[in-house]
Amino acid sequence: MKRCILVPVYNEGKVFEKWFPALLKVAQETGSGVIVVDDGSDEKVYFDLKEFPEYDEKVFFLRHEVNCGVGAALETGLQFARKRGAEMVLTIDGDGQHSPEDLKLLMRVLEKGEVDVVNGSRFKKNQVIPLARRLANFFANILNFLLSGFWVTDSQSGMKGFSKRALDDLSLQTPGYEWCTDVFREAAWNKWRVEEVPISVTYNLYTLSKGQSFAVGLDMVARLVVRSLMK
Amino acid sequence: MIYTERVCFLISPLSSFSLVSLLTPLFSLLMVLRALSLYRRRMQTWRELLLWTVLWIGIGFVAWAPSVLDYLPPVVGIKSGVNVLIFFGFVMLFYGFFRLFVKVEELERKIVEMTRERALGKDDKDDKDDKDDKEEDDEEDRKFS
Repeated sequence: MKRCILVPVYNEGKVFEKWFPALLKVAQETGSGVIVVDDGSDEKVYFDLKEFPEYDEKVFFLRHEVNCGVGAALETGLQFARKRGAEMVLTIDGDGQHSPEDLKLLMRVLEKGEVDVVNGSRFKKNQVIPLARRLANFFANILNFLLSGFWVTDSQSGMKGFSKRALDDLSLQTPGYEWCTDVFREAAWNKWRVEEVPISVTYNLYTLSKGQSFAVGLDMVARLVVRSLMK
Repeated sequence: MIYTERVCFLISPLSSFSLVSLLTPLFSLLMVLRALSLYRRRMQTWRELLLWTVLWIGIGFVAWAPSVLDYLPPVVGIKSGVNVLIFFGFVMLFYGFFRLFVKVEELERKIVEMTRERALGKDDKDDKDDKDDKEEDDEEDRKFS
């Protein structure tokens, strides 16, 4: 399993069932394995693979018994992928806001071998994004720059790709949404090469309700700042 | 003469020695050394080191020479001993809050580790069970063939 697509999910229910076949299709085309980490959802996440029999051994469902946060779920998936000998890992949000087709773009960039981390940027593409999201992301980008030294256009993107070099050293210490900043701090420390590629995003009532709210953003900022002070 | 007036706040504590003005800078120095140690152990970035160092040097400096605050607008001034006590009380309260925060974070980290171990361990077990099942099936196939 050289390529791996990592999906953290938490209470996604029917939405996950709807968009997951599209992801499996991309995994099939690119020969990737899929790791789904259920972060303590109320109802256990499951997908019937009878339409994808050849994928029965390439899709792994891991489950956190309690909800630990998206960063923790990704770290679990990363550890699992490393154990399985993955050489490239791509992450995608579980709420269906991303297009799985965009994973191919990230893979292409990583395959060139000139980049260690690829960040899928929703703001590099001309598309409809609510103003509140744009503003929140802009402030998050500033904070990300202050804490990591990397200026990126979409620091909070859930679609990222990691090369073997990055994968070997990457260790997400923060359990929540701060994982995105964690990635760039690690990148700065390890001198990884980072590139951004434009990706599509679909905002609807569901994805907006699942994303980072203002309160979550404030909590994230407080955690990042205080953790930085007390480290 | 002007020069002497400008720097007199630096030497005034020597002439009016107090325990607070001596112990607080020492405590600040310890905290700065701790930050340096964390930076050397790669547990802090240089930005964090800078922030932490500036904060503790500032606290230590104000404790060493409280009269420096007279140069700031009057709203910030610490003019009496009681105010100094309140000021350092707040500093210690904030420090206590930070310590508690770290403890909570530590507990959270342990819960995450345990949950992760179970998630990954369970998968290993499932793999082992699958392997055992496959071996049993192969054995049965051999028996019947």
